[in-house]
Amino acid sequence: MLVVIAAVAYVLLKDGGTGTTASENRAHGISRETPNFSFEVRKVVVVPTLPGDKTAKEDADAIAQSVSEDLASFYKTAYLDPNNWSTGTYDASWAFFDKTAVPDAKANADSLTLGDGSAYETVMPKPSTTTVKILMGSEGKSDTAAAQVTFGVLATDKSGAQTTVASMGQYFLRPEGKDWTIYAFRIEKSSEAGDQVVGSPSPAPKKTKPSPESSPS
Amino acid sequence: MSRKRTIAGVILAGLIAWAAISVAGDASPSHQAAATEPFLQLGVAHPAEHYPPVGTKPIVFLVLGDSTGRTTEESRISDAIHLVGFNPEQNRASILNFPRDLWVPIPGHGTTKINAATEYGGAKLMIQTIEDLSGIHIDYYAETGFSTFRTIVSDLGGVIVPVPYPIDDSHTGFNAPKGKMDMSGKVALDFVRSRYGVPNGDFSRTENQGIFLTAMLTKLRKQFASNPNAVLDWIGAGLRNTENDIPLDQLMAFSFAAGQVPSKNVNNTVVPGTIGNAGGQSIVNLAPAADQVFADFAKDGLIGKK
Repeated sequence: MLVVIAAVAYVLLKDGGTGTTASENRAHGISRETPNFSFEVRKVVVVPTLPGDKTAKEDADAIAQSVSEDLASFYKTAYLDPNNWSTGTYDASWAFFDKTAVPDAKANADSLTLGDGSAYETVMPKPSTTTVKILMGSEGKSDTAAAQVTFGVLATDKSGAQTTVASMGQYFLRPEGKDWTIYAFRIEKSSEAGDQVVGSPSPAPKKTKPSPESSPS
Repeated sequence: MSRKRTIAGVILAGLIAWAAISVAGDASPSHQAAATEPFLQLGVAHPAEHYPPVGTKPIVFLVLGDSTGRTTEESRISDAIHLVGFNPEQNRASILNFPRDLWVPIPGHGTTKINAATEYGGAKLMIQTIEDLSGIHIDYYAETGFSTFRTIVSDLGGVIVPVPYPIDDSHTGFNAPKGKMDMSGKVALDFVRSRYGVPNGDFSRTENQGIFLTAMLTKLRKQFASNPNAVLDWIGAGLRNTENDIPLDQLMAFSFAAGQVPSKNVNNTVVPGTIGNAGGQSIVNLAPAADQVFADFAKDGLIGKK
């Protein structure tokens, strides 16, 4: 049986600014038993904000890599760290969210994390991908980015039964020092018995006008 | 015209809809001949207040449509004037449309038609004029013109608009039966400028601008729902081509807020008025009912109840 939980939070700027959660909290949030995981960056789309901006491909790729690494770290805490899923507690995950987004993230914990995984014996990542769209500011720096993710894990319970859990959707992030912080998201989590292939998000994004890939002329 | 120009106005899922409609000005040949570059200007109404946040409090935009095509601030004439209120808590919005011929006091310039305010003192004087008149506090303003409107609508791939009654306006060339119509940029511009062949002249035109606006918002909302990160494309395009002093965080917040307001949660009201005459020119006098509308809008950025 397919079970789907969706989460949407486009966090508005609440009165009081845009402060962020201390990024150093992240460093202590992943245990040693957590399996290795990284996203395959399928595509990088640059959206210039300055006339005539020609962001170098390597700069854009580096930014996208940084975004995907931070998202991978988030998913480690939210899906792969046994200390978290075995107890159903995800305090370390909220450090990846902007302060203004933390309440919404916590309220949507069921769809943003594996949830209560106490019945599982192991949780292993499946091949996962991301497409990163980068809004470029001045001096080759990005002001904000949106990442579309297709993530999955294979969870095995003590009887050997397997469940595929997939997380698909979009995250909006902005830089905070060397890290990227999530300030909005639209995520759908689904679970299905067996070793299922993790599919594409549905509905697939439609190409809009103007073309996202268009460069300034 | 380069592509970046053509997408210059596609900056915010909802705000652009408001801005885009604001071009329904005088169709006189002299104004048409003066058309030059498209432009879109976004700014904070009161710089001393910094940037009012888009959060839980209502936010009010003043949207101005220039009919002259001039790109310098001076000498623009705002022939379309709208206040747009967003109330994030209620996920609702209201559009308050000002007839361009509204006879009002303009600070420092006596009593005259409201559309002259930008000619005398740019958007700043228009803001002061409307705030003095209505008691409504304005947070942000957006100003655009004919060319931008056409290109925005075209870049969106047209907009399906419910034409409320048969219209045949020989001045604009707009001719359509009642019913839904897929409008290109040019046809849309003709529609929102039509004040002949409609039941109540300038009032009907102003009301039709609101109908178009709502239809456009519906389309933008659908785009946002199917692919939220499209807002980055709109903002990127806008920042490349727009005179803008609003921070990115605010633009993102605008986009998210506007992208989520259903069209059924948007109401559209024309400032109550009566046709009159002053010095041989046709004008619109404020009706007594206007005070109540202004007070309602000032309270929470909305007109009427849910």
